[in-house]
Amino acid sequence: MSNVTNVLIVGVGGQGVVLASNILCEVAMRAGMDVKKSEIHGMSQRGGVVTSHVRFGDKVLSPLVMHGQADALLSFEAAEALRFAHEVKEGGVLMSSTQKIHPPTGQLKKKRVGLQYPEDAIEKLPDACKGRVVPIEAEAIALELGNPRLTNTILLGALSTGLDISDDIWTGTIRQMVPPKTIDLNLAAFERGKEVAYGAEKV
Amino acid sequence: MEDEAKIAGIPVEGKEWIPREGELDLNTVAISLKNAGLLDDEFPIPDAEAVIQRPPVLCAGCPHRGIYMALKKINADVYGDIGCYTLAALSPLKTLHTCFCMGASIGNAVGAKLAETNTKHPTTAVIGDGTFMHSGITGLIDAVTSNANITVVIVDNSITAMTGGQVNPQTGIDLMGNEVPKIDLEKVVEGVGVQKLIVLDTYDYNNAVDQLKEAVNFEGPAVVIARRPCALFPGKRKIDPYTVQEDVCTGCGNCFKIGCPAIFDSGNKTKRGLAIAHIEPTACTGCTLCQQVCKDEAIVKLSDLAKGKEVTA
Repeated sequence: MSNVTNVLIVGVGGQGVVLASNILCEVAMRAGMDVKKSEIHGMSQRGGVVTSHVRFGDKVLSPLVMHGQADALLSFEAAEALRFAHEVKEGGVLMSSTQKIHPPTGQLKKKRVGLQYPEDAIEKLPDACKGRVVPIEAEAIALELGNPRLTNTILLGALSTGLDISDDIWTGTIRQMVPPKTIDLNLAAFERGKEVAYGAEKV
Repeated sequence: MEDEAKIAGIPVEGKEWIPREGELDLNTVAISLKNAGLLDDEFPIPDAEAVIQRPPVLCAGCPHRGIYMALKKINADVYGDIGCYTLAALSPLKTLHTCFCMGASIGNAVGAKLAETNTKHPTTAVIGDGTFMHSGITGLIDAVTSNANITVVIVDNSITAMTGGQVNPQTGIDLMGNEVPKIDLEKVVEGVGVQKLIVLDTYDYNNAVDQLKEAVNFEGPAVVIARRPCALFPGKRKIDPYTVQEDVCTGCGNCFKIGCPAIFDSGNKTKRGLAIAHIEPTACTGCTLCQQVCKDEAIVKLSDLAKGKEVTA
């Protein structure tokens, strides 16, 4: 059990969390590992929170990551990174897009909603998380590349720098799993994600 | 299981260590096992940061949104049923007032009307096409035979969306993909003996309000079929997104109130300090409902704006 890697991928419905976790699973399988995945996405197509647990290693017995035991948390949204920051274990890493998605109910009757959207979510992360925090301007990079839907691949690129899986497996899998018209863009997004993560490590 | 094991004479402990309510997640199981003396390690559940909730809402482009906006407009008491449309009970629409079980909506509405509930609001029931086929017809028969003065809104998206897009008797194919006879919703309603039937398009808000008024003013049971295919199933709708002209928006908030997950606070404020709306182009399907309630004609088609067209709503 000790060599199992726990990855938690979180975001908001429609951001591509499920596709990203499917790609990660496929990559881990092609790297010869045992893989298990579990998603919680019931209401998520309707603007709710999506979480996907991915575990891989020599032998994986359970698909769920125990609370506080994630080696890596990949978040597609700033407030969601804060919501799940405690799941990262000591020595783990939290990589989050700095993108903010305000829930549609947030504008209404703020007193009744209780909590307000944490505009400072990214700044709060180092205190909320036991692991290393890597904020990624994924939205800006995606727009620069020309398609806002590329954020999930950028984040996968960043995640890949922390995993011992060859780039050939990653790019081969992405090639097969993204819509054919977007292959080149996705591969470029993957590279940019890697660059950002490597850049952050040197800091 | 513990009781059965004990009856069988097997020594067993369970409820003493394992909680009987809440989710049995890994940490809870591990903590239970530790307390029972079977594990040595500590598995504390770390404290989580309290973050604003993200309750589910009707999808961007959901056909149910328009009919709920109209029901809200006419101040209807809405007896609800089970499906995606139950989400209208939540903020900000808050236009579904009961949810009991599949098929309960019509019976609840009939009962409330017969009990002479002290309300000036029109009594309505909202039920999906799938749920209506499943267990709504009996309720409608009851409404007809008791001549209850209610309006039954059948929200017909032609699919079972909440559970992932399964077929229903109106689809015309079975689970194996074979063609089977389609059930005609209008014929069922008329066959049951309903004298007032209106079919409307939920993307046309003003028309929906007018038609609903006509239905609730009818003496006796009326049925409104609010028809539009689901925004997600069987295929996602083609995207033709709209956008907010920030310099035109006065921050009236009408578009926020329809609870669309494609509409956000832009973070910018009007001179009076009100939040200016932003429409997320990747999420917007172009259903135009927000445009129809926008006071300022600030919401326009993104493609028109990009073309530099003279844009008037």
